[in-house]
Amino acid sequence: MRNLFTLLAVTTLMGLSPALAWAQGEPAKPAQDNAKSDAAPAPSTQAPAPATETPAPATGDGGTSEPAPSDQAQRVTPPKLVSERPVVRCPSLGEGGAAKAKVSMLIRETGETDEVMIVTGIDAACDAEVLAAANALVFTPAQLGDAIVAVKIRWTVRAEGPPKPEPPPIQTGDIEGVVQELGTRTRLPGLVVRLLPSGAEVVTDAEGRFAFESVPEGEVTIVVPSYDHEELRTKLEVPLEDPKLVLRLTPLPRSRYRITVERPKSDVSRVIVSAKVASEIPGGAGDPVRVIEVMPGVGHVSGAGPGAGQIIVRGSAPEDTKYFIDGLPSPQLYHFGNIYSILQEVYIGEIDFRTGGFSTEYGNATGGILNLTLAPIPTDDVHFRADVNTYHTSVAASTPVGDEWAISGGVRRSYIDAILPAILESSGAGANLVAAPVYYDYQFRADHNPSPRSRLKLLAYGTDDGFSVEFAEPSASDPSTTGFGINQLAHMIQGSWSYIPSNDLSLRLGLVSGYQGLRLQIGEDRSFKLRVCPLVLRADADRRLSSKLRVRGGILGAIRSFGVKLELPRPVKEGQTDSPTAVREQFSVDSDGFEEQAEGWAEVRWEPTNGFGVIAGARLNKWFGDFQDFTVEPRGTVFWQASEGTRLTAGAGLNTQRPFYDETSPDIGNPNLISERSTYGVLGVKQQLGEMFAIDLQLFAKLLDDLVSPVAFDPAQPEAVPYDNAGEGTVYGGEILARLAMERFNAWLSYTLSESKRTDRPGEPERPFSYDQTHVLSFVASYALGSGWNSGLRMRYSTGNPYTPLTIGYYDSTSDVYVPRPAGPPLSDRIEDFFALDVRVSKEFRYEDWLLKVYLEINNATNQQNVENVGYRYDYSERQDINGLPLVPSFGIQGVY
Amino acid sequence: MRLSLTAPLLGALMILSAGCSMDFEPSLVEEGTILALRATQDEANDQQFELEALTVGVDALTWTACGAPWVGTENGLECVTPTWTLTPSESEQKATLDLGAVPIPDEYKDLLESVYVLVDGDSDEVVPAVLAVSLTEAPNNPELVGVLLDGVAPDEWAGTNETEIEVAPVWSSDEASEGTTTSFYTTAGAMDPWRITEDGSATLTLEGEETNLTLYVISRFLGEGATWTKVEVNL
Repeated sequence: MRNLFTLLAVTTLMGLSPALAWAQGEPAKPAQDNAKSDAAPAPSTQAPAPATETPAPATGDGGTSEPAPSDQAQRVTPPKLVSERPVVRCPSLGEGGAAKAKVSMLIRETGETDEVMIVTGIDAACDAEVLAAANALVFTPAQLGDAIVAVKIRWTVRAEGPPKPEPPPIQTGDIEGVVQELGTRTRLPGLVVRLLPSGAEVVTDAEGRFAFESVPEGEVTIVVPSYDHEELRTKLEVPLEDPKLVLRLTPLPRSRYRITVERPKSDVSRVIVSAKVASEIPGGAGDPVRVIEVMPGVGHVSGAGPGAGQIIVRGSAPEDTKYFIDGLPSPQLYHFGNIYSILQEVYIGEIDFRTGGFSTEYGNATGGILNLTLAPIPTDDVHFRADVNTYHTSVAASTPVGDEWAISGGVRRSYIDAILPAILESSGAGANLVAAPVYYDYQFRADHNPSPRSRLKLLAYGTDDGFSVEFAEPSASDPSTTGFGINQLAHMIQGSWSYIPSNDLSLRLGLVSGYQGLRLQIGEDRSFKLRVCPLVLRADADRRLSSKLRVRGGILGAIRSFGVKLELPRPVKEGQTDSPTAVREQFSVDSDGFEEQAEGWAEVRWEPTNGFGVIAGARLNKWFGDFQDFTVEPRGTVFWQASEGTRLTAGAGLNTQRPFYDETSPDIGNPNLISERSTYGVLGVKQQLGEMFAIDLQLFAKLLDDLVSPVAFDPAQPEAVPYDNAGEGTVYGGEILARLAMERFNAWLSYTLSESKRTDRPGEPERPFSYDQTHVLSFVASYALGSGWNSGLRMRYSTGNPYTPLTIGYYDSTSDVYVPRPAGPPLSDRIEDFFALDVRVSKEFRYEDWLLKVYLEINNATNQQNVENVGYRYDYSERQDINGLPLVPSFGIQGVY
Repeated sequence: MRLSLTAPLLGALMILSAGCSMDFEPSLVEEGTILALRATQDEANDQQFELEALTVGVDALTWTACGAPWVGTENGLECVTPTWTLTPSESEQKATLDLGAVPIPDEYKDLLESVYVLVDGDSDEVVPAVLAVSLTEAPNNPELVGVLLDGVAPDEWAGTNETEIEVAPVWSSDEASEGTTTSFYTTAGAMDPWRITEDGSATLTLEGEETNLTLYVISRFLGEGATWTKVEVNL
């Protein structure tokens, strides 16, 4: 005890209490406070320690107190806690609660505690726990110098309530989805998808997909704004039951053909139209290719007579315009009579039409180039389309196959053969028509997209057109004709592979082959059979040498195997007076053979400044076989974006074209003919006036030479050639394309003023071409009524085609036919001008994943009696015009899944 | 390969088809019409052909021959080789083509395959007619021997009050009509059909006011030859 008292005295003198308090983890307090506290009486358990109990420092880390300066010899070592520092659990403190209790206790020389008393308590229950804990404490004994002594200290015990339960982890969920158009399921790429309230945004990818990861649970709102669709706003609860969302956007009630016609900046006379847009043009009965009829530079397509249903470009003959599918030659794009194109709308991406000044990429055409690009097959899902209209029924379906392939197939069958006779009969014509035109077609497509840089497009297509008439009695104009039949068919397969090995180089390889056939029977004695099996290979490359210089080029090789059987007179050529076949010299031909063709083209595109560029190139054509020729066609184009809204283009060059096959036939023609030539110049200005209006002006001129002309028969020279290249001609004119694109109302107007003339040989008087139409005016307008309703109209006007007036020549008793003679110079008269107004109303019913479209068209709404061609009484004593169709309503319904 | 035949032929056929449907009445002939021509080769002299015309109200005929087809021009009918006139018979309905007397240069003669004979009337109203006489093949004139009216020969036919009369060609044999085209013409009423092929008959429809008329039945092997019969009908 002596030691104890000694220690107490020493520590009191040294003022060690604050140090001890500190040693226990409490802030040091002034010694005076401690003294006050210590002075308070303490009960056995709760009372504060008496003033005589001055604890020595006691730390868990074994720290020792320095000896008091006044007692250097009596160094004090406070006790150190050896056992675990206790934390007392007190339920009464509540979850997460905490408090401290102070105890005083005696630490014996053994380090055990004794005489534990509560100095500052919490509550009874807690204090009991505190006392229990303090009693269980074990210290290293305190030392005074080297002597172990018992000391009394104060100790603070921490008490805590029950631990708070761990907060549950924050829940999140993923949102994935696809944005597509309501009804069509067309994936919508490039749209912003916004998530509220977080404000996070993502953009849909090429397949219309989007994703948000780790979205906190709770209600969110997805917003998808779109220029062409109504804004989508939908509330969701995260996590979603099905995290794969399908967001369907409703198209805005805008005009269906707002984007109408566009001219690429470097092409002088080129127009590109989306097939989807073109199929809505009034008067086209849903056929996108018939949009050509209202293009600038395109003459009215006659529905009957020579050139019926073919394209007339800037006064050129229909045969001067060549057809392509995806850049590969096609024997035909229309069922005959231009009733409908041979590809269903779903297979056509764009209608790419050039009326002149075209790239060296295309050749053997002095008129225009019509190229249908193939639409990619949807890779997102299975799609199905059915179309029932006045002319035909068609179905098409497509599906992805694996990750890289997609395939599609479609068929179409017309029933005009059942409908047309009724229409004609009701209009008083066609009583003898026992079989109207009928057509079939099919398409099979496959796309292979192994990578973004490689793409293979395959197309197999076929078309079969038939038209036969059997007269109830021999024809009044030619008794040898008791009927006739024509059948035209083609079965083609083509593939094109494009590959982009680098960002500066792209390659394309194309192959097309198949079978084309034409059979014609007139009466019993006159017939024509033609079969052609072409094999065409083309390879093209596009190399960017720098940001300003680009080189393109390619080669084309073709082999055509053909067979001809003919029991007919020679065809009537332009400007010749038509006469009954019975009195014309009849030829009998049975031949077959091959023809080869090789072509090469190259062009350099130089853009020294942004907006100004020059394209210069050349094309080489070599023909082998009965017809042999070699031509070089230089061509050039200059384009200049003079200001933001003004673009100028100019082009000049040479086009050549092989004569018709009958003209170069060794049997009925002249194989020594050479290619016809067209030297052209084109100047174009496009002016954008504001955002809604644009006007495009083109001036064009063509000098034609080496045109094939018939040679008058000379009995003294029966072996003389029937054709030579003595013809010359000129075509010049201008065309305007004006476009107005408003929110709901859109329209375009095209007008062409031109003159096309020729002579058959030098010294002969000039005459117009057969397809010279001075004025051609087209106007197309549409208005989106809303709620899926659309309305539109198409108006066409053109100067009537020239024709040679005929009168009675003589009666040929041998054949029992009347033979006409011209009543004036060749092509000196014109048929009446053409005018037609077509109107269309359509309604779309959109369901989640499919849509139904219904349309009604009134063709020739004013019931105009348009003269399509001139006909005559059987003895040519009276002109009897052939009129076009009267007012014909046309109805269609389409289902698209 | 695109052949320029397709479009013109299709167009021509459409015109032909439309022309057939027009409301013409070609069987009713008017005065001043040359209905048919034919050639008959002299059995004794194959260089000589007897040419004959069937006309309605055309008394004076001119006969002009040419070595090439006659071509209709703005100015009328022309021939690219020299022409010569044939001397008609007294009635002017017939003429003789004598190849031995063809006045064309000898170097052309061997090239001749046909001679084209143009027959014209004395009036501008008459439509001239042309007969091609083949020099390589003899004329092939059908063996039409007559007609029956309502099943009886015309000279035995007693007339009728009906407005329809059946007119049937009579052939030399059952096979003689094969390959023929026969046309019916009348000076009153109308024939339906007005042309038939091979065997068959046509109906003459009258308005009931006619008292007499003339029927012309012409049968042809088209491009080869013709034969006709003419019947006066008293109703």
